[in-house]
Amino acid sequence: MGSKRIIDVRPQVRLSAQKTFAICLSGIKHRLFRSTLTLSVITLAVSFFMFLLSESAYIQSISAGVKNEIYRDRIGNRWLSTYFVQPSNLEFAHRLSEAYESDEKRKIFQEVNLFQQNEFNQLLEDANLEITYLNYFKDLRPGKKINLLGSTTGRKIFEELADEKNWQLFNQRMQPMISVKLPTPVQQFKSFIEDFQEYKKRLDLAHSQWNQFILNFSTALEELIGTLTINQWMVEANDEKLAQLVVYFSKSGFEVPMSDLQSITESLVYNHNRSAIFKQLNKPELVSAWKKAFLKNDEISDKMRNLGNLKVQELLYNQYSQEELQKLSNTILYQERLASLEAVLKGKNENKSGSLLSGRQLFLLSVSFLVCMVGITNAMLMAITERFREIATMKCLGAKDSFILAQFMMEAGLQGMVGGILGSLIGLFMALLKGSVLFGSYFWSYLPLNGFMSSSLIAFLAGIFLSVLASIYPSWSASRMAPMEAMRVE
Amino acid sequence: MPFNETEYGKGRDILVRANGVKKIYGEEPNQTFALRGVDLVIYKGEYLCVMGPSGSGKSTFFNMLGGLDSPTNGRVFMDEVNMAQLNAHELAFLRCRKIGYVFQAYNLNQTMTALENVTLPMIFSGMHPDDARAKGINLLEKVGLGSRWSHRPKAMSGGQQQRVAIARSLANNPQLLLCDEPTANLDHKTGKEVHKILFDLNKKEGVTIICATHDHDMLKVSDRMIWIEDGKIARIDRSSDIEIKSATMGKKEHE
Repeated sequence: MGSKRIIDVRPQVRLSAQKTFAICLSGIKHRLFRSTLTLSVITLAVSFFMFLLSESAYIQSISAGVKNEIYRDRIGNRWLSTYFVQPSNLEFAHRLSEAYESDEKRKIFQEVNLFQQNEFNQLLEDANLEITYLNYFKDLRPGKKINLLGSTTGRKIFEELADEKNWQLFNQRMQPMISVKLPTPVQQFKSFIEDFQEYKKRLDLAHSQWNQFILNFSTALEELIGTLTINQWMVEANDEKLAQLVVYFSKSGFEVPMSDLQSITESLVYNHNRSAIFKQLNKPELVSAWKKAFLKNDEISDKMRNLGNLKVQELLYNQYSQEELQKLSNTILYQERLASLEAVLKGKNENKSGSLLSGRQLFLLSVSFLVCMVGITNAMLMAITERFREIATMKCLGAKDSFILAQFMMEAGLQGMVGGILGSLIGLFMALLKGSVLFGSYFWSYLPLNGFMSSSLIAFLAGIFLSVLASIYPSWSASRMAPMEAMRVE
Repeated sequence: MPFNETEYGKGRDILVRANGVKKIYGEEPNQTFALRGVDLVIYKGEYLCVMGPSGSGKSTFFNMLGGLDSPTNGRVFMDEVNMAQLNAHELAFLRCRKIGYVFQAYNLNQTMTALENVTLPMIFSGMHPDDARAKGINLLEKVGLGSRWSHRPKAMSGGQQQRVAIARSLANNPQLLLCDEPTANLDHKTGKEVHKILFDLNKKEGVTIICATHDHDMLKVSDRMIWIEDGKIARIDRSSDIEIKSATMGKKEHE
């Protein structure tokens, strides 16, 4: 009895995806309630994912926005102090330098008095660090303070503060900074944002003034010196010309005594350091930079450095009125506080270190995804056990394994889509709620719409991916079910 | 009077042939013999009943004939094709086009209407939806449910559901109809309706029917009866021979 192949399977038409989808859809429509379990698991996981994503999106957006504002205002703020202190005054610088006991220090001071942007920045950074540290120190419990004193920096600062007058000054400086608290980053960030509003108002004003001044001054200066560089012009200038320059200065709202300009000219001629800098500034593209540099004489840095120095203070009292000094100290405090807040913000950003989610969040997320996967797999297996008769009957009627597989995978995909949409909406809502409670009006003004859109897309895709991935095994086992099962009777 | 195979099979075409079919479940020490070597020839246009107590291997044999299970030993030929040699794709084709299944529990898809249930195998076979719809209505009319094509199985009685299932099994004009106790879940009256439909199919359209049953009414309409006991064919009877027996048994029970 030879057996020959007489079955020709060619007329067997491959079932189109559209038909499979239609059959799958009608199945879901009549089992909507039962698939809610799977759906809710997906929704939960996706909403959690979406919540984390959008939270990090808005925190990044707010910190970027605030940082930008700080940068802008810091320029304005720097000008504020420079404007008050007035440009280069060599005589005054000499008197200040006499306040120092040793020649070495005096020398350093004189160098600082000449324009040294780098040193200024360094000083600012030091002051900023010191204040951050001191502030941190202030909030510590006694036990931790003792521990901290073991380290060199701690001891150094503490020794400085051992002087009663220094300590009083320190306290005075700490007064407006009570709201700055270091230990919890979010708290800091929040309090910073609360304080920032006030800064903004005052600094916006300063900024507009600064712009106006620069405009006036640069027009005036170009009118006067023509094609020459300011360096050349100053070296060649006689007293008459310098008097003209004084007039131009006053036109732009800036007062420079004739004697000051004369001393600047002298220093230009005789001081090599200075001429070296001006050589650099001779380049046309740096002229505008020089204009700034010319105005930013760096007494502010010395004042910051010598705030605690009593001799310097005496000198300052002789030089300026009480009112002016108050203004100056306010300005300096501004700068310090801004610097410390910037450090706080910097710390916040470093925590993020460029990645979208932190390690802890990633851990939570992966656990939730794992639980979700197990839940979906379980629910799908349950659904398949419930429907064994239906599946086996389909196979008896001529359904191929691939059809059963496609049917269940489509079902999983649809569930993932619906779960993804629901989950992103819920997660977004939760994130909006939390953000608006934490950051108030700042949250709404730096709303990262693009970030929300991309994170909801990611969350939606993650929902589909998760659902399909978790359904691979159950669908496969369904497709392998023996058609014999259809004959079984309970 | 013993059954004479040679005389019975004279001039008939063979549809299914089982040669020494054995089925063993389990490993060496704990083996269970479901079938211990069954030889059977089924002819085209025949109405065959398979009977036997539960555990006799009746269901296993039945599954073998329908290509749902493969034997451990021996071969089952359908239209001269050894079913053990077919791959999954070819088996699916076979189930779709050549064999119709009627189940004890109807196994209708609860989410679909009667018409959708009937047209499902036609969709699997690649028929155009319009043709499938026309044919589906036609088949439902044949089983007397033409007006109820849009109803879902939940809205139907057991007998009506079984009739839809029969219409579904006929979707692709199968040569062989496998009925697994089609009337076991039905009362006497509706059972008789199902019998009538199956009898008409067999006699008027020449569909080969293999039916596992305990129903005496079913035995009356069939051509042959196979008695399976302990994994072997115990007896083959022509229905004309045992008609008297079952009638007397029925009478005794009534008295």
